[in-house]
Amino acid sequence: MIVDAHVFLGSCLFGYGQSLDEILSRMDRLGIDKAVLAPVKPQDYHLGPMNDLVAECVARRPTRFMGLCRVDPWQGRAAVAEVSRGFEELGHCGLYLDPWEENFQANDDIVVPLLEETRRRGRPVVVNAGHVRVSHPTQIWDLARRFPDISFVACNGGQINICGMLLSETRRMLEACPNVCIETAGTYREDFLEEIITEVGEGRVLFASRSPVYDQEFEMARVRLAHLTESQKAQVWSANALSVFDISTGTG
Amino acid sequence: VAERYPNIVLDTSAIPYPRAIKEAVERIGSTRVLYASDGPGCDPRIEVHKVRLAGLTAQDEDAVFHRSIQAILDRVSVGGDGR
Repeated sequence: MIVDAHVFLGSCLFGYGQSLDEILSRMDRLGIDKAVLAPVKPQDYHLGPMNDLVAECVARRPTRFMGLCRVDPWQGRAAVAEVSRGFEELGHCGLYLDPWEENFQANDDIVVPLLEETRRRGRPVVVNAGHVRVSHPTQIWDLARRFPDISFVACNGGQINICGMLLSETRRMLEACPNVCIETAGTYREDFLEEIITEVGEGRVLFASRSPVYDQEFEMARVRLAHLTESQKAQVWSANALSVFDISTGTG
Repeated sequence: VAERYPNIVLDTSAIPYPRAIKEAVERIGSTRVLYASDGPGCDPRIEVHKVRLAGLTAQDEDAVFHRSIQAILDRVSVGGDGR
């Protein structure tokens, strides 16, 4: 089984986007069984209707999709209410925070009420990680230590800077915080992913494409061609995502 | 920058975007885009796969994989034009 732990849905303010039909068609072509949908930031900046759209798509194909609730922490109480609505009414499986596109520091205090609400619901938090100033591994690290009972998923392998300086920072974050995993998408240096899986833990890396920001087919090659055992690859392809997002393995 | 200065050549290594390779070829030409892996950190098999996913014509792919670097090496090699 293959689970893509991070796929964007909708048409984004910043120019990227894709429809459910496009996502489904490519998943079928590439042999991807399930995907976790995250809303893009739309032209009108309103994330609530995007959370609705994700929920509608999940309801249309519940065996193929799960959805994340996306909010802007700067919205304060309204954001907390939206998280609550996302989990209670829309059935979202986790919270998506994008410090880069929503322009906040990942470990800023404005995030705390959102995490308290998420913790209360026992859901994981996916963070767009690796961006300068707002979501360095040390900032995710700080957040994860303040909320040790929340599972965090750091996008972009925790780092997207090909200078490589954040590779060691990400590893230290993972070693210090057992409640943090990383996604494979966009990662610089495949040997870094292999190192984390073999030396830090087989349960710490999730296959994710962040399509259409990254190329889903190319992102699969990272796992397919990795120097890992079949058992380790099975963890990355699906088992880790199924565990983090508490996904049923039902098909049909 | 590469569009403005013809003496700049780009290589394909490490970027996670096959479409960026196609865009580079369209904007500056395949003679100035070189396949490179940044190996061993980046797996050469994946880096080759990335170029093949870029959707280049056979002629451009051929240039990126070897003809463009060959032309540069010929130019700078002893006895070449760059001597």
